[in-house]
Amino acid sequence: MRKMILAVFGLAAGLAWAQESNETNAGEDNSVDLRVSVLEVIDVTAEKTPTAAADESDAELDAILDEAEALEVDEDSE
Amino acid sequence: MIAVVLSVHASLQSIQPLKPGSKAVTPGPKTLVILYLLLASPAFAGYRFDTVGSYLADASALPAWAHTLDRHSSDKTLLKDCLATKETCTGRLKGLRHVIQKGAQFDREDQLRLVNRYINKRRYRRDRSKLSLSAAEGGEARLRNQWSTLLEFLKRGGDCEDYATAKYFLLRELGFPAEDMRIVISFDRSVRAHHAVLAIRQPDESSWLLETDNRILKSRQPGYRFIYAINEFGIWDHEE
Repeated sequence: MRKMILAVFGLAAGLAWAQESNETNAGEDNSVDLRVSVLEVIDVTAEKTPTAAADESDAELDAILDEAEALEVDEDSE
Repeated sequence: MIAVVLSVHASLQSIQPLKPGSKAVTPGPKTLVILYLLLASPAFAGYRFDTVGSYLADASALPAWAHTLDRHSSDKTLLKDCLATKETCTGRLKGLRHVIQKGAQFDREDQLRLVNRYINKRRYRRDRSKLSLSAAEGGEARLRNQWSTLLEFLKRGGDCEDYATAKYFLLRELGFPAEDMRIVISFDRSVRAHHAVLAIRQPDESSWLLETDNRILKSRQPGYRFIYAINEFGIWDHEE
């Protein structure tokens, strides 16, 4: 009889613990979803336009950028 | 950091008094400590990749970003064909191919400068899309950010998060590992608006930020309050 009571008690405790774990996971999932829904509506629109002084001039980089632009202009005019 | 503090301290010591004959004020150890605390404060601290407990979720948890990653996978086929065969390149892909081929010959820092400047030349255009919320969520329509792929950005331009994502995708083509890059959303005090920059992890876990005004911010990144960051693997939450 005592063994049976202990087994039933153990089973009930196990079930209660498992249920609590699931509730915790569900709570964590909800808090992540909630946080993501807050982050995704942040209006990210700062405009900081390039300035020549911001990066030192480099003839080789400038040449590559000009060549790339020329290739795109050719395509646009076709 | 210590080098920066010592450098500023040395500069202070070299300041001469305005009036000849008046006593020069020599900064002591207290100034050194104050300088260190000031420069180490969050207002001056740079973005850190190793912030404990900041990981929030997998990238798929942000639907708009997950959708962009899917579209970029399709774009990669076009880009791969273009890189393999020049004749298959159309539109902006011609210029992109040129940048990738030339950039592949550069060292890491010059690759960053090239990509930063190439992408920053594009047209700024605001792009917010409506997010319809269910009745359970309040039922109202709100605006959310729309993330462009590299090819979409080259065709249409975009706003600051699109500049950052375009740099991310282009640097991936140049061999930069995804785990060393994050698109970081912050509040930029200098323009009093939310802003996105691309952070590149350095060997000492600090970062360089690729700005939309062509600057590459290295040891000091004042004026930013970092909010969250994303890459193709995850989302990191930097707010308490």
